[in-house]
Amino acid sequence: MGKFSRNKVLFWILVCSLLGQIIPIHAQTQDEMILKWAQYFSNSVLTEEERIIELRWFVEVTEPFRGRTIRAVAENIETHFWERDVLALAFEELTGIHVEYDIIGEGSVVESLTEQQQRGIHLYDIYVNDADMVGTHMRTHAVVNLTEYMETDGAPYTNPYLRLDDFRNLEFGQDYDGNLLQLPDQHFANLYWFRYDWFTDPIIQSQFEALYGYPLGVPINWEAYQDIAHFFTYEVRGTDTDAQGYINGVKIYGHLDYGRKSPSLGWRFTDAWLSIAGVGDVGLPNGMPVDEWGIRAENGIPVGASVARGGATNGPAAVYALETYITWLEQYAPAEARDWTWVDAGVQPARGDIAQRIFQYTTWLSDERFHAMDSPVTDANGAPLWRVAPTPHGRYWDDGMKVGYQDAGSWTIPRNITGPNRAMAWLWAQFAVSQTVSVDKFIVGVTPVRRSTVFAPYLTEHAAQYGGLVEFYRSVDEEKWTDTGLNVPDYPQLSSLWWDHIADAIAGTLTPQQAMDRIAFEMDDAMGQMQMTHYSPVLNPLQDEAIWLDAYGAPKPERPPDTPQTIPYDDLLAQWKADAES
Amino acid sequence: MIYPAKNQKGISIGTKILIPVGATFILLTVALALLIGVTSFNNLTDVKQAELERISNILARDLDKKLSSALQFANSLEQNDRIINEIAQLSNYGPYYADPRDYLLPYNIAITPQKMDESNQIFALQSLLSLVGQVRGALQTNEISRIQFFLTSPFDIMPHADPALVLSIEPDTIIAGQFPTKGTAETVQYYRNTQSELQLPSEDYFDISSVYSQQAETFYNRLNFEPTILTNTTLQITEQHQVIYDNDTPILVTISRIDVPLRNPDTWDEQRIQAAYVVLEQRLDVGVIDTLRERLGLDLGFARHDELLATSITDVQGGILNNADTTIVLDGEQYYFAVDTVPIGDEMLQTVVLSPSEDVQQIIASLQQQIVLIAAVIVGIGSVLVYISIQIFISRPLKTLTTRAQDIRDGNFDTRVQMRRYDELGHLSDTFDTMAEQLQNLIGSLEVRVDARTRDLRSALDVIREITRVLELEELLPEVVRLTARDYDLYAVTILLPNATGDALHLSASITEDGTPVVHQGAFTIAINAPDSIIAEAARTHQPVVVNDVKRHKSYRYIDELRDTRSELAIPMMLGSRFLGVFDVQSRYRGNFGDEEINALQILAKQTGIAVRNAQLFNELRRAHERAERANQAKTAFLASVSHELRTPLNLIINFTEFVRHGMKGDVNAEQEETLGEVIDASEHLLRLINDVLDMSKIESDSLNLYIEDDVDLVDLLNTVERSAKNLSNGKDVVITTEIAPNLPTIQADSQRILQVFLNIISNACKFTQQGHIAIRAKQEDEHVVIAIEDTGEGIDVTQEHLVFAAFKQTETGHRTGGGTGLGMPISKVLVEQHGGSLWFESKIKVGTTFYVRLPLQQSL
Repeated sequence: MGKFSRNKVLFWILVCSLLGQIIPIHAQTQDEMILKWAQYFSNSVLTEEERIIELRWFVEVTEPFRGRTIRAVAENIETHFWERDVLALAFEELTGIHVEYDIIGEGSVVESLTEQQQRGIHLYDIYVNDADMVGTHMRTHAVVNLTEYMETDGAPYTNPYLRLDDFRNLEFGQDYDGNLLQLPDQHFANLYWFRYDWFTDPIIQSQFEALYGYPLGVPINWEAYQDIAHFFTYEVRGTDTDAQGYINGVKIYGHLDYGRKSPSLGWRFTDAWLSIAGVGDVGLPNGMPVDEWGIRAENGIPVGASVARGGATNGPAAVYALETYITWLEQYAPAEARDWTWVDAGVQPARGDIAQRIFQYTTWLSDERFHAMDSPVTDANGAPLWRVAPTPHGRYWDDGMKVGYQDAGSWTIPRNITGPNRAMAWLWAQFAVSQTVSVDKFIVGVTPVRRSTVFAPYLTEHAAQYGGLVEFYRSVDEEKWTDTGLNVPDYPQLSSLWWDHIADAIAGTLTPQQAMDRIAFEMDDAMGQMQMTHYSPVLNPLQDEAIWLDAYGAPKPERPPDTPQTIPYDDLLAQWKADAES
Repeated sequence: MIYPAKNQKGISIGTKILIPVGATFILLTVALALLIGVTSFNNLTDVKQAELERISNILARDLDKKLSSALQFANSLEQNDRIINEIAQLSNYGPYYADPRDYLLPYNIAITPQKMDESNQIFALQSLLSLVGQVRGALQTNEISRIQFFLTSPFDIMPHADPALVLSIEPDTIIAGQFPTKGTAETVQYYRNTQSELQLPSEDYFDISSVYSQQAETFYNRLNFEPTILTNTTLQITEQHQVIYDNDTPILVTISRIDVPLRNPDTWDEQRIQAAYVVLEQRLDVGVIDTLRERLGLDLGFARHDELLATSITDVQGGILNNADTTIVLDGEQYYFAVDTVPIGDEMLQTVVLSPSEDVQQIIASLQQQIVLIAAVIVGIGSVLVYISIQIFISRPLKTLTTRAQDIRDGNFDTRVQMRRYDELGHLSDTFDTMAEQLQNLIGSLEVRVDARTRDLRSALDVIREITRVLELEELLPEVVRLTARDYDLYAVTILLPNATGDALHLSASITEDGTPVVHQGAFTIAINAPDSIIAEAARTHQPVVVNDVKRHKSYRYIDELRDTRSELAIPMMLGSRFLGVFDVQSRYRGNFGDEEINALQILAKQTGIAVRNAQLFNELRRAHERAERANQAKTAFLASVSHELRTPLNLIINFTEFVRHGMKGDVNAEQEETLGEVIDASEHLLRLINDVLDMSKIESDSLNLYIEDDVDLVDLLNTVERSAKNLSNGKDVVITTEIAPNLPTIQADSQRILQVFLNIISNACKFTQQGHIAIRAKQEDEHVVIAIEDTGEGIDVTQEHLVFAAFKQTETGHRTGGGTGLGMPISKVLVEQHGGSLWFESKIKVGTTFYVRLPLQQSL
């Protein structure tokens, strides 16, 4: 060993002396890069000086890793493409670390992560993984506990300007103890989307009011949404020459959705559709003790999904949620919607014949088709003719419950990523959500994770382009849009149980009640077999459903329909603005 | 002398040639077989040895192939991405390497070993199991008995680290190494699973949660791996191929490095570098040896330094191969062997093939058998060919010649051989044909003569046959001349017989060619002494006289009726020395009568003479017979007349005398009455005599007829006889007794004639018996009845016995006792015999006589 060590030492001395000569030139180059990128991210809430400081920190802290490569992966939405194409380049130019950034489907992301965690293989150093899986991560302990890491080995690599307190909904990636397991990278909600131009058209307004006895506006509840859907699909006449259900000669649909048998059909439900119907309990970000999947958890321990075990997955509210989804898909959506997936349906409102959509993922609103000058959904100036608004809720919804879904794609490091790669992955994650880049990222993807981004001067200035989205994010209501919470002990496994049965219900081979029963029972079975490191599920014994239905909160007994209610969009907007200012 | 060719038991020329040729063949064959047998033993031993060496070489090459197939298999592992990834993973979680991305300074682990996370050990276990799954199935197909993986230290992170066993897979044992500490292999823990069918867990067996919460040992336990301690866990590398020995079982070892993509600790770049060795073991155990044995078809084994290790011969342990020799004795049996050497690494493994020497001997034996067999076939075929050749070239021509010769023998002189050959047989054939032709010519003329002669003889025979049937001379002679003229194509035929005085011949029969007589019979006479007649000359000389040209013969007498005669033959007919006549024939042709014609006609003439004499004798006999016949008829008429003429007056005499004697014509005194009684007695005697004579004459003229009746009761007849006997013996001291067997059956007979027989006998008995007794007895014997009449009379002398049944004869006693016709007993005997019975007597002089009559119950019709 002695001889070997001596040689090695001699070698390093040589290397270092060479590096010593190169450094000045190198440093100069880095400064130029810092400046270049500080100037590039000009929309940031930070000043250029602040940006330079932040970027310099990155440059300096990554010094040992220069020339290294890490692998990252994320799902295929606009935000991540931009990250790959712009941020990864910036990061490499600044730090010398090459980020091999794969953009793949969300399902594949979860598969890769699962395989890596299970087998200890080295697929990716870091994943953008929806925080829907936080309950899973909490229980498997297979991801790096970022809070812990920041305090220990990761401390030197933690951006002093990270400002976790600036993050919106940081709790989405936290366990019960507040440990951060996933750092938010992009948020997007599913909101109510509608044609503001048609809703404010006096002729159409009068037609609606004449028919329904209340003004056409943003629906507060599903009863109003359904009236409006019916009105636009079958009754509206844009002009005198238009037939019923037509505006300017175009067949209008009062609803849009997707129904293809695919994993994304499951998201359509697990991404809070049941909470919008009112399935869970009161509580934010997720209902406690019953969440919007209908899973009851007591002291962090999942105890059941079926009503008989205190869950609500097959309760009246959940059945109502599925029934209503099917009814609307069949009666008010374009026929082809049944064959669409989540991705197919994402940009369809931009085609111009959709009057409203109850469940629009806002990430799609960054798509060019919603903003192009020649888009049927923009005016002559390119301003959107559409708006977003809070999602109307079902009849089981109670005040204090979440009312929508907010996706929280979050940086997640598998636990088998250790040492320098863990550090580099963490540095890359922090770079991708840094204040320097955040506003520019929002401009591209409309997926803000920082409050400072939401309230950035740039957004104030350009709010009109976003159809009410900025107002929404700035409102207090925004916190009612959350992702899947900690009650779900194994997101990949349990989410996979949904779409098959829902597809059967759409096809009519199962009744909505049968479909929800199966989902509930299968989730119970799966949870009953889980052996998690922490908060492992322990099922409640089966009990008479009536006991649970009669008890307070979810599962809730059947309710009568609400009176349809609408609110003028402008009033709503004014209210949000007031919130934001306060 | 003639040798018949057919049916003669003999040896043909073909066979005579064939036997020595075949024998030569056989001798050659035997000699060849012996020669080959003797020489081939040596040659075969050499060949066998060469063959064994060749097979040994094949075996050696088999081992080479095994080694290269193992190497190929090892190389194939490196082509399998999954295997490579698993080994990379094992390296990552192994003792000798650390991914620089995870551990900033991998070299540190060499200095300061670090305990690894439990999860890493579980990941390593997963890779081990996956590797088992990838590799296990391939062991069998590649004939690998054990595969082992040894981890090395890539990038020289730990330059002196010994390769550490991380996985060992045998068909029924899996050993997995668990390295809890990075930087040293010393803390390794081995686990052993001995299930031959280890069920590998599915991928989701290791769920994320448990990977990070469980101990690796928990999984080992769950999968039935037992902790175990191994002594030899490092690899001493020497050569790519090695041979090691487990007791006497050689094990081929193939070592190959496995390069996997790993991060260079200095550059962090991924680089393909050795991270492990794979060690493949191929045990040359009994199973392998048996498989090779089946393939090569020979016993085999392996040896080290000329010392036999494992062999396919059971129960054989050890043995030293002496290179100076070609055989080795194993388990009491001798084997040829050949050795080849396979260099494996720095070792030499010897391949040995063994063949029992008995095999060679068997091969030689079978070779000899085959040679003999083939030779036998060749001899057979050769013999057949020789035989056929002989047949074609010798036997058949000879047979043809023989057949032709036989044809000639059988009289077919047309036959020719006509053999178109130019060899010796050809010449023989030509000569034969020439000879046959000459013979034919010769025989041809002979035949004509024989034909004529035969015809003459046949004609003579015909004539003779015809004439012997004819006895009337008047018929005979014309028939003779007719037939002779017909058959001999003669101009005229004449027979002349001598007259009663013998001084002249007169024509008795004649015929000319047109079927008419020459002259009227009897109208032509020649005096014996006529000088100008050849007929007379023949009669005189008793020799045939021939004139073959009448015009030139001085004594020929020309007659008008036969003016066309040109030649004439006169033959005297002789019987012994008795001259019977002349047989004369004439022909229109000159010189017609040669010796043969004369001979034939002489025979004819002689036969005709006999016939003439027969006819003459027959005529004489017939005349004598006619005379006798006429005499007999006269006698019969006389007798009938006598009997009628005599009996009628005699009966009148008796009857009238009776009337008188009984006083019907007036009283008669005693003297008269007595005299009259004597007249009656004499008359009755006479009448009896006449009757007997009449009977006798009937018998002689065969005209005595019986009148057969059914159911003739002998008892009645015998009673009559007894009464008659009592009458006849009246006054004598004679006792008459009758003994008739009870149930004596009736018989078929002429009752009057039988009674006549009995009365004849009893009358004799009474006549000759003066005192004593006369017994009449009757009994049945089989299908006959026998009647015996016994008397105590004078008896018959032996010299007189033949007179008893002779007609008109009497014994002396008969004469003495007075009287009798002498015809009674002969007539009785004839009558009994005509009944199919018999009559005889037994007599003793002075004692008495017993007559027996034996008669059948039934008369045969």
